[in-house]
Amino acid sequence: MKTKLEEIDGKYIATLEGEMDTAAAVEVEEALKPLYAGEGKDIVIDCTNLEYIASSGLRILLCILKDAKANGSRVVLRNVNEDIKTVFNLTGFINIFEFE
Amino acid sequence: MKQINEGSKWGWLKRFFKAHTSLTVIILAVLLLEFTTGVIYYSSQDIIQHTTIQAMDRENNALYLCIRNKLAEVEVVLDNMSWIVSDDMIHPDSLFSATYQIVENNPMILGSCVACIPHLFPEHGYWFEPYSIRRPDGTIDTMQLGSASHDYTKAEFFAVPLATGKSHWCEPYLENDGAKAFITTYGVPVRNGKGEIVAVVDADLSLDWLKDVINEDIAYPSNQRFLITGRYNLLAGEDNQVLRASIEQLKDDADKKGYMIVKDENGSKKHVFYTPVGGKTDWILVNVLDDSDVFGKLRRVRRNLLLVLMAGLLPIGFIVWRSKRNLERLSQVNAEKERINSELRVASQIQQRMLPHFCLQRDDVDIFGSLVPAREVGGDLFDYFIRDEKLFFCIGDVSGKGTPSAMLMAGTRSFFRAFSAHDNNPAHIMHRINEAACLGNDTNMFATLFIGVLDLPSGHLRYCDAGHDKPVVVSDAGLQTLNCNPHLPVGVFNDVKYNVQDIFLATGSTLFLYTDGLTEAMNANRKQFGLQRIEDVLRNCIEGQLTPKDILDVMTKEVHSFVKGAEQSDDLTMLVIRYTPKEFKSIHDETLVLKNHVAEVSKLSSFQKALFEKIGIEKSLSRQIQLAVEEAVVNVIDYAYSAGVEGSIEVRMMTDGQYLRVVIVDSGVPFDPTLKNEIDVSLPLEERQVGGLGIYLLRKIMDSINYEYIDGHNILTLIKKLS
Repeated sequence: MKTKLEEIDGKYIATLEGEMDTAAAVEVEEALKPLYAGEGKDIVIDCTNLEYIASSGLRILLCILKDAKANGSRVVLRNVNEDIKTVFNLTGFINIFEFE
Repeated sequence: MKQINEGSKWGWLKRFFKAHTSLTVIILAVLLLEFTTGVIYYSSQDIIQHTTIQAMDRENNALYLCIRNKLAEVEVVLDNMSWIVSDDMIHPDSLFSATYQIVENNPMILGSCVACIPHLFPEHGYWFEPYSIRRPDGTIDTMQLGSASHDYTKAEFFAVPLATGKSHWCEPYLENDGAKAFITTYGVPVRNGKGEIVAVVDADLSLDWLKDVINEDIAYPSNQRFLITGRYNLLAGEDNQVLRASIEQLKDDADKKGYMIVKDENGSKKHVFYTPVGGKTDWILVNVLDDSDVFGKLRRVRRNLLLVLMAGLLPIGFIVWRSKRNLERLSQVNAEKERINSELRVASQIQQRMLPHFCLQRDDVDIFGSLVPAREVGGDLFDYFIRDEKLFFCIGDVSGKGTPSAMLMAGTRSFFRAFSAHDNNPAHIMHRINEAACLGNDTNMFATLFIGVLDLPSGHLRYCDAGHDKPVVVSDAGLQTLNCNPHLPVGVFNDVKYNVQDIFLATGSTLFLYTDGLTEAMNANRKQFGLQRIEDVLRNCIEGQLTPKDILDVMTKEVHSFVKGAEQSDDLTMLVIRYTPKEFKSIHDETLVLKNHVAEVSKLSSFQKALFEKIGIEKSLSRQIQLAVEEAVVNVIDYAYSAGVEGSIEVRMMTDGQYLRVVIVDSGVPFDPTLKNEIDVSLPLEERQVGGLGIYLLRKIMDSINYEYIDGHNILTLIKKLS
């Protein structure tokens, strides 16, 4: 599991690659810590190469989104694949996140 | 259009009859009664009339005979005298004494004469009429009455007997010379030796005497009697309009004998009886009776009857009025009863629908139940459903029967469903049902209840019995009654402690549950069906390898033939469960043991990936199953063992080609993930909770999840159909 966090044009771009199982989620959370800081910047999470996400990963995304909303910034999920879309459907995330 | 016209005339009447049938019957009965009384009255009037007329007739007969006799006395005297006088014709002077004798010896004769034909005795000249007359003071004067001024030859009393040669009664006339009164005269011709009529001997009768004769023995006060001659001249009685009217009518009657009704000048009805007097007279006796004399008594009877009739109408009217009220009330009650009955029918349908009628369509268990209420609705209940590979079932009996019990039955069933949604322990479920049943229960109603939870993968049956009949278990080992702790029924005390019991059902076991409507079903001899009979029937059924539905049918038939038509006294309820788990014939069967660290999850991932590839599950499905299993395992890692405690987790995956079965076992704290409340994924972001996603995904992805705690181990079984 690889996690990259960049700041481009005043936006945070997070890139998630590989399988985010429960074990990996611990590291991902650590890596994405700045996103919880409440800086109010828009966030784009690139999921092009994200193959798998477990509930702990979903929790992380949810927390990021809640925090962003509270600060008035947007969160966009980019290139989410079908399998993960299915999971988003099951959990209702499909209705609360923005996708591109 | 046609209907409207028809309706107006008789429609009203028809509607009245329909709406008030009983009232109409009463009115018709009253009318019939009055009609019958009327008929009786009128026919009795007829009879009385008839009888009276007959009586009058007889009276008339007697009367005229009486008159006849009286007249006959005079006739006899004169008939005899005519012989004597005939002898005395030689001595004309003796004729004077003859007349004297006639008058003296016969008090009713007023005067008597012997009227001789002219010049019979030349010495006496043309007229010779010896005559005697009784004076008012009683003395008798005798004289010769015949003279130019008293030319008797023209008189009827002489001329007619002379002409006819027969005796003759004269029409009444006023005798001015002798009697100086109205009289009638009876004359008998006197013949000489040659048979020639030479004289007529006469006797005068006072009409007053006649009047006395006919008025003898008058019975009715208004009775008027008349005597008239054949020429309708009045002999006795007072001339009045009635007599004249009667004469008018009887002129047409040939035999002058009969009865008629005549109206007088006031219009009152008079009954007229007439008959000829006969003998030598042509007189007619007319007997006139007042209507009130004839029918006076009947009138009184009629009046009394009428009074009674009228008086009778009052109580009848009262009865009718009260009946009307009662009938209204009755029809109201009937309408109410109809309404209640129809509501009961609907309630019965609702109750029947509350019972599970679906087929479970599983190969590991077969279940069938039936409930026949004694009345429209009953107090027995049974229910079953499957959740997380466990069969939840219950059977119960609310005290009493009918509607109150049915309502409690509905409530108990709802409680059962509600409290077993998040609880697998029958004793807990029972406890909560009991609490709910005791709440607000002031009718002292209670229910016996048996709750069972059968874990289908393992055959582990947990149960709790609250005062209900112990179920029967039939297996290869034989038939036995389930060993049940005797708890109080639910709804009695809200602090009863319920304990769970458990056994393992062997493959092929049959569980038979029933209510006391079965054991206590009575036949006409008041013998009960009894547990022994139930067991015998069950043994036969099991031997015959019957399905639960068949077992129920057989048992029902047995009860019916035992009861033989006697009335069903209690609800009849039965539930049959057969446990037939199929062996899982795994093609692949691999196990992985993990330590309770999150890091171990990667091991799990590689293990699954490899296995799924081996089995040949396609990628998306693989990912999903992987996710579900990870969530389940992570749950165990997080909660099974206390912090710092090292524990192992066994993950076993099997497939028989159709299904993938994942069994996760740990020996940590008993935790049932199946009992967690489902989160609401439709909530907006602000309300979304971070927790609960794992188990939610687990439930949604897998076809079924099943949890059992056996021998200190949490066993979580996940099943997914591989299409």
